[in-house]
Parts: sequence; structure tokens; C-alpha cells
Amino acid sequence: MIGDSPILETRGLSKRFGGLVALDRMDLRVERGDLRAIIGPNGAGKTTFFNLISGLLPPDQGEVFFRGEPVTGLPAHRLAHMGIGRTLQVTSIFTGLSVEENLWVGVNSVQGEETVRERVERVLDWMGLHRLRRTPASDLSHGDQRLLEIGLALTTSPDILLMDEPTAGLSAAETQGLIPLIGRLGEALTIVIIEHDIKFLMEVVRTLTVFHQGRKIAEGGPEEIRANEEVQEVYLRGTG
Amino acid sequence: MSGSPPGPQDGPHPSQAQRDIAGRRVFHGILAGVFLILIVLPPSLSLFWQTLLTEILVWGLFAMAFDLLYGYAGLLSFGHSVFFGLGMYGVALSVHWFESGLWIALAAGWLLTLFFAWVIGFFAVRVGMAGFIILTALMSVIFHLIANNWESVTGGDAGIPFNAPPLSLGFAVFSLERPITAYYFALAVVSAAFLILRRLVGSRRGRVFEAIRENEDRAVLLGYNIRKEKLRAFVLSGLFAGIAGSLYSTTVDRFANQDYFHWFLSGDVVIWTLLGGVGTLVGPALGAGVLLVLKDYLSVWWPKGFPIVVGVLMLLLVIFAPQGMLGFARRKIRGRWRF
Repeated sequence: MIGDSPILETRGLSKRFGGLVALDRMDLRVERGDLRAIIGPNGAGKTTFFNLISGLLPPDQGEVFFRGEPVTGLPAHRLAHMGIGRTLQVTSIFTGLSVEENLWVGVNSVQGEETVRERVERVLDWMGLHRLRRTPASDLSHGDQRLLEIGLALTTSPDILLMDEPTAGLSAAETQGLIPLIGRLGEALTIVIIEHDIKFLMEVVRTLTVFHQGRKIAEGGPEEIRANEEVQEVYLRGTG
Repeated sequence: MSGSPPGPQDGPHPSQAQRDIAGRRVFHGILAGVFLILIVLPPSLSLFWQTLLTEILVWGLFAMAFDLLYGYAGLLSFGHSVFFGLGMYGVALSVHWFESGLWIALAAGWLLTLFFAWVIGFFAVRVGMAGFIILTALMSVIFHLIANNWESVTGGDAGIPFNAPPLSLGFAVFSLERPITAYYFALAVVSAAFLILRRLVGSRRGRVFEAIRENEDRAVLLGYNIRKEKLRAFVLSGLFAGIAGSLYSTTVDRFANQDYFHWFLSGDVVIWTLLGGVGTLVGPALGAGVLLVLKDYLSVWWPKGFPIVVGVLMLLLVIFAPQGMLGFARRKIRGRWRF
């Protein structure tokens, strides 16, 4: 039964901040192996959605299922152990530690099949950060810090990776460099990306979901979404 | 702020790695040298200096215990005197009421500290950063009041004077009332505690404490139960502060009294740590030593000048070396922040 269920599913998920409805009865299914993007204008509820499913915020209503099991309201550290990985929009690395020590901290928390060392090496491989392993994270370029941000989320061997604007603050060249990386990661795990850079998205994702004012207004493949008039109305036209 | 620095990225430059190793060697060399002096020198010193050195060692341990909590886990406690005082009262109460031997008395101090560190910590890690500071500061006040008012047990403001039980090492029995014996006993315990603390902050657990200090959200998302980790740091730090208190009451001042719960003492340890270097472990002990010696000298020719001098020192520190004495020295040697 669990094998058939989507890796992530929400039913009627809602969150209010005072009078503002940030997320309004959101139903969303992410199938195993999907590379999904969530797009939408600022304030559409995208990051709130991530916060609810990764456990940083408790929902007001609704349910979250991970691999078919109800996980609504579980604390973030438990969800991390279950296999939900998450990157943050604002780079959140441990600047006082070296690259390697950053990864250690993550690998150390979740005991997987690999040894701590193997996992650290593997993440360094994926991210291409080998040469910078002993560099203090505070000395990395912004682009490398964003890579470390993703690397950290991978240390816990997640089944699903939630990426909140991985290209934030990156140059065009650095953004281009992320495409093959995300493609490779997408072969190993399920990924959901919140992103503004539409061109970037169209090259990497399989499915898009469009949020607007806390609701889902469209869902489909890249071409389908591009052709959707309502989406163009609220989002695509505005950002060119 | 985006983009890579010019030129190919070679990672750490060889010169940097060499500086790291050199810096570590210099530091270890200095530590070994200091330790050797601390072993060889004291018998030839006056009683005054023997006692002052004992005091510095014990306060140094207290400062290192505090640094574990503040410098590594990033939790600023304004109530650490509570644990120092509990270590002290644990010894005093068990000697006074049960006439226990040295090791039992010390163990009583440590257990009493452990228990209250856990209870206070349980609440303190649940109330946020500001709440943590307020709650720990309040604990200093509350324990001070308890010690002062629960006369039947604590002796009230008269405290509990007692004689230190003799130190029995199997082959011989030593009196801790002799300054030089007390000194070597303190040196042995503080050195052992230092090695344990140093190992701890250098371990993966130490990295986890730092990670929580640096970015709580990220640590949570990596699967760490923040409250549990903070409580762990709090209890460990409290325990070592209690060990310092128990040691003080057996080697320096055999007189448990409410002054050692006072929040002045909680404030002192914050200043020692800032002066010596937050998050350097040895720095805070150095800060304690420098200020204690300074206080003693000033007491002769300018008795009221100590707070003024400390104030000026802190001001200079904030402007010229915000990372403290040791942090400053490390940066000079190494160009980076950890040995």
C-alpha cells in the first residue's frame, strides 16, 4: 500500500498569520521521482508551504502525508530523520565551521547505511566542493555557499529534497552551473523546487505547480503551464 | 557579493595549512610550558602566591565551564554562580551533616549540581534567548535567597564553615589545609577537567554545539533536537562549574556561604570570558587569571580602582580586540580562528 502512495501528499493544508491567509486548503501530490517546481508571485504561500511540510511551522488545518504515513505537526528534526531534506532561501550554513565540518554536523545527526566519512565524501563529490573542504564556510564565494547549502541538505540522505530558491543571488553563469547538478540529483531522489527563474526551471523540471494567494491555480508540464492563460495573467507576464 | 574570487580556486593555500600546523604547535608548546611551570614552580613560592594560584586554577575551571555553554553552544547564562555555589554547598553540607570523606563530599557536590543543572536547564532551554538570560539570572537571585534564609540547613548568612576532609591516596594521607597540597590537588583536578573539556569541544559533539549557536533552523532541519542538545550543553557546563565550586570549597575557602550564589559572580565569569576570548576554552581561564592578579595588585595601591580598570580594559577590548585576548593572539599567529 505504501509503495503506491505518493512520496508527499497534503490535504486541505492551511496556515493563517493573523488576518492573512498564507496557505488556503492546499491539496498537493508529489509522486516518487518527480522533479517538481512550485512557482508563483511573492506572497503566494510557497515558503509557508515548505515550512509546514518540513515541520518548521505547525499547520492550522489539514494533513501532511510522507510516504503514505501521516506526519502532520511532527517537529522538523523528526521529519529530517524520516527523510525530508530542506534548503533555505537565506543561505543557512555554519559560517564558523569549515566546509567539511559543516557536512559532518549533518551526517552525524542521521545514521544511514554509509559511514560518516563515506557520506561526507559523497556529498563533496556531488557538490564539487572537494578542493574547498578545509576552507571556513565564511570564506566561500556566494555561489559556493549556495552549493554548500544544498550539500548540507543532502547530508541526511533525504528521500525528498525541498529547495527554496536555490538560485537566489547567483549570477547567470552560476545558475547555469546548477542545472546539471539538479538533473543529477533528480535521478537519485524526489525534488521540489521553489523558484523565480522561469528559464532555469523550464530546463530542469518535469512538473510545475502554480501558487497564487495561498491556492493552487494550475499544475502540469512546462509547456502546459506556459500555455495556461490564468498563469500568464497572474505570474508570467509580470516577471517577463 | 556573488561570483568567485579572481584566479583559480585552489582551496586552502599550502601556506595557510602550514600556518595552521605551526599555530597549533606554538599553542601546544605554550600549554606544555605553562603546565610544566605550574608543576615545578609553586613549592618555591610564598604561601600567598600558592593560594592565589590555586584560586586562579579553580576560577579558571569555572570560566572554562561557562565558555562551554556560552562560547560553544551560544547560550548566555547570567546564573552560572548557582552551579559553583551548589558544588560548594554540596561539599559543605555532606561534611557538616554527615562527616563524609573527601571523595564522597566532592561527589555530593557534583550530584547536587547535576540535579539542579538538569531541572533548571529543562526550563531554560524552552523559553527562548531572552527568557534564557532572565531565567538563569533569576536563579542566581533565588538560590542566594534560599541559602540566606533556610537557616536550619544552610546556616543562613553565617554559612557553613568546615574543615576539608583529608585527601587519602591509598599510600598516604594529605591535609588539604596545607596550601601546597591544596594547590597540587586543584592542579590535578583542573588539568583532568581541562583535558575532558578540550576533548569535548574538539569532538563532533562540540561541532554540533557550535552548529546550534550558528544557525538553529539549519541544525533542526539536519535532524537535531535543539532542546535536547542545549540541555546537554547546559548540564555539562553546570557540572563543570559545580566541580569548580566543590574544588574551591576544599582547597581555597572552607566556608560555604551565600556570596557564591550571588549574581555578581555570574557577571564576573561573563567578563573573564569576554576578556580572555569567547569560544577558546583556555582564553576565559586566562582572563580569570589576569583579572585576579590585577585585583590583588590594585588592592594594595588603589583599592577602589579595580572596577574602573576592568571597565577601561573592557572598553579597549571591544574596540581593538573584540575576540578577546586569546582570540586576538590566535588571529595574529594564524590568520584564522581555531587552533
